[in-house]
Amino acid sequence: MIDIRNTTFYYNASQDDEEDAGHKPALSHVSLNISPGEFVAFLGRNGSGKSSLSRLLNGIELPTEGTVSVEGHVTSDKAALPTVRRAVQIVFQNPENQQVGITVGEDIAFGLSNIGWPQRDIANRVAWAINLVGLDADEDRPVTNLSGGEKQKLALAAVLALAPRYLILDEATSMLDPVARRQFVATLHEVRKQYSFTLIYITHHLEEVTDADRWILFQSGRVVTSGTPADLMEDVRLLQDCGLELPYYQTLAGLLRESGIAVPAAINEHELRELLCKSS
Amino acid sequence: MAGTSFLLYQKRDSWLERWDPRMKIVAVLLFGAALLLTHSLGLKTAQLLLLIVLWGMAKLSWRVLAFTLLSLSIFFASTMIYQSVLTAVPGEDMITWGWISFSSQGAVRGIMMCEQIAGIVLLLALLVRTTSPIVLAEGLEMLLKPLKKWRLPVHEAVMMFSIALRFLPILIEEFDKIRKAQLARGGGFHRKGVSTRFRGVLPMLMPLFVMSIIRAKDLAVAMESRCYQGDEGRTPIRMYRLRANDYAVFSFSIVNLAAIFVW
Ligand SMILES: Nc1ncnc2c1ncn2[C@@H]1O[C@H](COP(=O)(O)OP(=O)(O)O)[C@@H](O)[C@H]1O
Ligand SMILES: [Mg+2]
Repeated sequence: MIDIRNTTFYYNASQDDEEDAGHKPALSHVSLNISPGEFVAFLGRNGSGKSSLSRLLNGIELPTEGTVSVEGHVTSDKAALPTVRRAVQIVFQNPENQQVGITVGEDIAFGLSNIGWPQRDIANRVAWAINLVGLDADEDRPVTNLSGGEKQKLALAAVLALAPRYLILDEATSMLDPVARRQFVATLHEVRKQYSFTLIYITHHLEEVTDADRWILFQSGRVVTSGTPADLMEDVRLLQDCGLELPYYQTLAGLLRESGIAVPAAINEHELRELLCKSS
Repeated sequence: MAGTSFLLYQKRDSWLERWDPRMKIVAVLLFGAALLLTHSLGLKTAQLLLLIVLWGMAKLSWRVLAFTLLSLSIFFASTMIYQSVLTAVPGEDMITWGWISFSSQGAVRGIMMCEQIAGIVLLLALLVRTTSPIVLAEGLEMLLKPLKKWRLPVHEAVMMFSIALRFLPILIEEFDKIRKAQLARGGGFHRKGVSTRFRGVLPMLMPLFVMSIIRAKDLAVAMESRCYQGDEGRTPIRMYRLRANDYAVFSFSIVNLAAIFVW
């Protein structure tokens, strides 16, 4: 379990509390639990603190106040940090800025080599990871001639090779075109069937997270609320305040509901089509 | 663009790619020393020819070779002029062609100098183009291991070097993009005049510089997040074992170096 307790975080925190009074914290008084196996979405405007929180979760940054702990290990405990890192892995936004290796195989091996994976098993593990994400490339393929979508699949493979229990995708699809984005999301769900991990999904596209267990809404460094997608979707005003836009079919369902047609709250696009087809 | 791929490793399954990186680095150093130290025109020429043969064996592109040598032609020309015309020693045989007069010994010195420049460039190009940066870095690190005793940051330095190699092609591509964007806006460095050109470069370097810093920051976070913590507890990504082939290359390099004392 991930346990975030009353966490406040300043970039470039000073020793002196008075100095912090001037600038705004990236996160203030955040408390949150994430259970094993859960699929949660972090939602909110740019600059609302989603990425900052994800960096706190694997100890890239440490809280200025409060604690973050992962399966009982506090991130500020230096001795526990390697364990925490390995348990919580992140796929970042920019496909180009997260690959260290020149070839697909080397890039996956980089992480394995960092955690001291037995040398003679590295090649096997690399092959396993490539296969897991269905990357259509052998390990000698240079990273530079992969497409954006393939680069993100590689990033996913490289991270999954380390067998994390928590996977954070920080706007991992935001630089992909719509087709590549759908493929990436499909791959992710395919992978989750074979190999289960807790998924923390950061995005601006609500349609990618309609099947999440929980949505967590961020606003200026605070967690405004959290709840099931079905519940939060009804509060269009709140979503708008958080800079979020419902998928169009949801907006349509809302409009139908307003004109007195009984449309259930948790409806997906196919159910809505059924409903409309039946009524005509 | 030939320039972009100059330093870029690409898997070609050549014999040179299978050499152990440590031995490759040692062989490059020994060969480089022999090339610089020999005073024999014949030997230098033979060494240069050997490098060109190796280029072919490495299955590298002849176009890139031609491009590389052509891009050095200014150095070649100025070296030749300097050695044979400007610094001719009194008493050397002077040859006169129309209004030019040059020293024949000077010309030989010039040719040897050019062969040295070309040889060193080809040697380094062969090294980086037939060895993946990570493998090169691991080889270099193993060779420099003794320096770690004096707390020199060998691992860090080598890692920086390999990442620089990894990002070079991306930076060049980015530079090209920015250049085109500036051209489209009527700026850029096709303009006439040295100072206008120079001023044209600045608006290109600034975004490149900013982007590199963002990239470096992102990459540092991504590396750390993937459990990178220096060389502590790392396993090498490949098994490095010296084979008969590597010893043969080593012996050849020694013989080649010894040859300079014979001729
Ligand atoms: N590296 C950094 N240094 C200083 N401030 C930062 C840094 N990264 C983000 N911030 C600031 O922290 C706040 C939260 O940003 P971030 O966590 O990136 O938001 P999000 O991911 O939700 O867009 C913003 O005000 C942002 O300007
Ligand atoms: Mg962000």
